Amino acid sequence: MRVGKLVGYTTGVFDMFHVGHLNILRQSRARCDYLIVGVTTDELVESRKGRRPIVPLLERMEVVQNLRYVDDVVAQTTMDKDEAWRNLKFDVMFVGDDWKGTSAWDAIEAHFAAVGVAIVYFPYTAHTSSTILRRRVFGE
Amino acid sequence: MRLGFTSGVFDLFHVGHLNVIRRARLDCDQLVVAVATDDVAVELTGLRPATPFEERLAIVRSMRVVDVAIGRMTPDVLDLWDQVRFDVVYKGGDWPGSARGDELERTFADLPVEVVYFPYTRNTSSARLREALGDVADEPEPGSRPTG
Repeated sequence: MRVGKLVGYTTGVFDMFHVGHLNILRQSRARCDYLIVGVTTDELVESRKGRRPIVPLLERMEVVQNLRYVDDVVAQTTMDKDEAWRNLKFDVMFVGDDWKGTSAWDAIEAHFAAVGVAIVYFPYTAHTSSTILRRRVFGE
Repeated sequence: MRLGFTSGVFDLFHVGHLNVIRRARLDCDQLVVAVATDDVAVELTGLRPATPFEERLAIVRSMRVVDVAIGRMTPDVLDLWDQVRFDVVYKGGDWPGSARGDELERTFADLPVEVVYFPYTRNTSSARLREALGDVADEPEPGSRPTG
């Protein structure tokens, strides 16, 4: 008997791809055997943040797909993580620790625990990095 | 073994960069990509990159199609050839017949180096991204605008 590969899942917008994104994907891939990345659609970003990403979905997916730490890429069309799990059947999900302890993620955690899916929280620097990036570009 | 080489700043990495290195890799057996240091980038383009050299290098190095990523510490492309000894150099963005393209061909005219051009196949160039970032940064962050 042998244990199959550990399938991991993480999500993000990955707008204006930068080293903060890269570090999250690298850390995620280091903790699983096969990493699937859900890239949020333009529409879903717009509905949550009020504006579309600067780089369109297909181009964001294209960049993420070509990273050596990424095995597969899907479009994230819904925030419903259970729907993503029913489609992808990952074993572990990687999430920025800015979500840890929120009621939404506590609920997802409990639900995933019941089906044997672990959630790993990473220190989340991507948001900070995007802000820094904007400041750097605009500040010059 | 056909050793390919391309070089760039790769600031605000986008699908246009990716397309050039992907097409380059299709044309050779091993691809070396040189990423300009901040100082070399200023010397070559007149612009200081928005993202620092180490971060640009890390992203290029993480692309599956890149076999080896190195820092470009010199603006002189012949110095790079001395170090890497590539068989073919790929140039993205400029068409054959452009001033920079002609210069590159002259540089390698007497060496066993082939010069191959790829146009940017998409229109999200770094310049457009910078422009978009400027637009975004112009907008006040939520909450920063005084109400009333």
